Amino acid sequence: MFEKDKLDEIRVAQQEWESRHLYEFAQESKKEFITEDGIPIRRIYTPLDLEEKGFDFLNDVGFPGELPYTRGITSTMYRTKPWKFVQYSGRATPEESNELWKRQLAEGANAVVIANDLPTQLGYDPDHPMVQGEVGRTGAPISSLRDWEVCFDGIDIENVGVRTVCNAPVIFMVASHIALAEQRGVNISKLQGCAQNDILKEYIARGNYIFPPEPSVRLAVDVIAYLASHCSMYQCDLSSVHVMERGANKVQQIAWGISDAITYLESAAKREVGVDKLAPAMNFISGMYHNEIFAEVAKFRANRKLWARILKERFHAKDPRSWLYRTWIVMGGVRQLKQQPLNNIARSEICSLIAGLSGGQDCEVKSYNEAIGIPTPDALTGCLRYQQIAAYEAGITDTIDPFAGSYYVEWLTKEFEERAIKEIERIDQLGGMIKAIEKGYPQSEMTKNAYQYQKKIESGEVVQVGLNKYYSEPTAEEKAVRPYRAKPELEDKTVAKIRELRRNRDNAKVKQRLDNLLEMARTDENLVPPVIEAVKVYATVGEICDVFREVYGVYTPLAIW
Amino acid sequence: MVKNSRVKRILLAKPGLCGHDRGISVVAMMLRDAGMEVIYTGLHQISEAIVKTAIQEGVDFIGLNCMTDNHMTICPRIINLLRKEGADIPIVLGGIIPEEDRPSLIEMGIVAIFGQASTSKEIVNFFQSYERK
Repeated sequence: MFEKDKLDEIRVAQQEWESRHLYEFAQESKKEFITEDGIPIRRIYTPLDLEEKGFDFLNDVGFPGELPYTRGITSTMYRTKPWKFVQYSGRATPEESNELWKRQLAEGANAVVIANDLPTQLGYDPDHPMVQGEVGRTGAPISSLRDWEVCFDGIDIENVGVRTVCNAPVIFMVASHIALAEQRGVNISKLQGCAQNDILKEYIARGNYIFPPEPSVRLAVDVIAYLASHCSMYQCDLSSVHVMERGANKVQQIAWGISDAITYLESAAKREVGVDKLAPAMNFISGMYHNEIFAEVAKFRANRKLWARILKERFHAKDPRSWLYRTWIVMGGVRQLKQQPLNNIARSEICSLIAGLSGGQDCEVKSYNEAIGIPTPDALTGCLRYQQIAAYEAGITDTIDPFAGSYYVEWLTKEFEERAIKEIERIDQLGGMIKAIEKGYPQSEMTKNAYQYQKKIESGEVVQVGLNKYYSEPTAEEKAVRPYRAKPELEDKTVAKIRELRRNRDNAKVKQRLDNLLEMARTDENLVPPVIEAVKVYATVGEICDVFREVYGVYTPLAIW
Repeated sequence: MVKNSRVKRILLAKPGLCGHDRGISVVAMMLRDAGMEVIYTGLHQISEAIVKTAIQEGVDFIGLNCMTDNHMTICPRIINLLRKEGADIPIVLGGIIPEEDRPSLIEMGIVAIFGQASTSKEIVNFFQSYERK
């Protein structure tokens, strides 16, 4: 890439420059500058640093829309249109959620992203004794096709993407969407969106699992395979944002995200579902914080490149769609602060820029009041606006991968790639991601990182403006910032509704279809069709998950910290 | 004031359905590093199990973590269960707890509430110097 004579000239010039400025270097604010991953950051980067990494333009950067895919997965990226603006949200009832989603769509959101309450995410109906006090608190309770009908009343599901974030009962969510489409006469091949379907990260970081890993992976693969065959525009999301929030560093985010995907691909291969069927139906949710702009951009570039390489070399994928790391970039909430909450808007704007500079397909940022609780509707509108300002006012969409060729960003991209390869090898050596989880490896790594980070906040090494630097007593205006809170009495209403549903549906049919599901769950058949059949007669999420609980058992977690 | 020098035993628990355990794990590390004995229940605990474990283990404190606005259901339930068992174990709460709920939580008997900005020094000091009223 670089001519040897030129490099020698640069080397000499750099040494001379350094010798002239030793006094100033000694005045720098820190002895060492290090990224959160522990990568030492040099004072400057030059062609010498890239030469040391064996950097090669065509192999490492190339052109967008083609291998190595470092620059982006399409040849025009945002010159055609900006990334999609999306916002995870839900309310205490399907009715209230429907109202909120219609508002967001009218405000320029490109999809509905459903936030469910925890009973739904753990496969319990709202009247289960375990869930008292949790119904509707973190999002929409969706227990049957009836709730799904209300959620999407007046929303054109043929043209509006729908994304679910409900992993353990994902099969129920997907079946409900398909059943609603059939009810409305919408061809299911036209459905757009994504179902979050990455149960492995629930064991590692998010905690919303029901069944043990092996059968859960089987259910996940059933869903991906069914969607790949019948709904090619409806994909599945795998997510590394939750491990980030739990404490995973950037290298771990890349590597564990890919190792999760490897587990699904290998499990599918055992059932003779080929890589070129599965991989094009996979989408990725990856995380970002506002703290390390250049490292974030490098992380996404390395991740895209590595995914393509692994799919091509390890899985021998032939279909170029299998090589594409399609990603929805989500800002984490852990670093939004309760103190001086309006400052969070600046953090969200930085993240909007990072997503655009990193070549994400979709983006979501956090609201200014998210550190306090569930965001209010106006705060959610802000999240769309911050992104729209980045996309339409900041001028970052005019050229593709604008950081390409930055000595620093290219060097970091190589560094992340090298480190992530080593981390993927480590997971392989542990016997794959399921074994690694059983050994508690990712769990204890994340706690270690989270604890270190907390210590750095307390020592002031990590600056949090408004908290450990520039702190001020909360003003009346700041104290007035409030989150959305579900009205506790709505829980009784939701409980009454599901009891009414069970009284009024054809219970003989429900029983017959659940019995059929039970029988099929013991075979190797794809379980999406029998779940669709059960959903159509208004079997509930709790009843469907109970069938799986009976066949597969429940997962008892390790208390690792 | 004479401080109790015996090693404090603390049960840290995640009641309810929430799976976010970064905060509680970090607190567990802080307390352990300060020389206290920590028992962590893991996720998805029902109130009865938390109370049973606390009594069996003879802990000095129960630390609850609530992030999903379930604290106004969980806290009274655990306080009542303890009362029923005749166990007088102070409860400390952490997580995302709205300001407006704090007075009623303290009134019902929660002895301290920590949150996002709490430091290890504050948390450790509290456990080490807490004196029953």
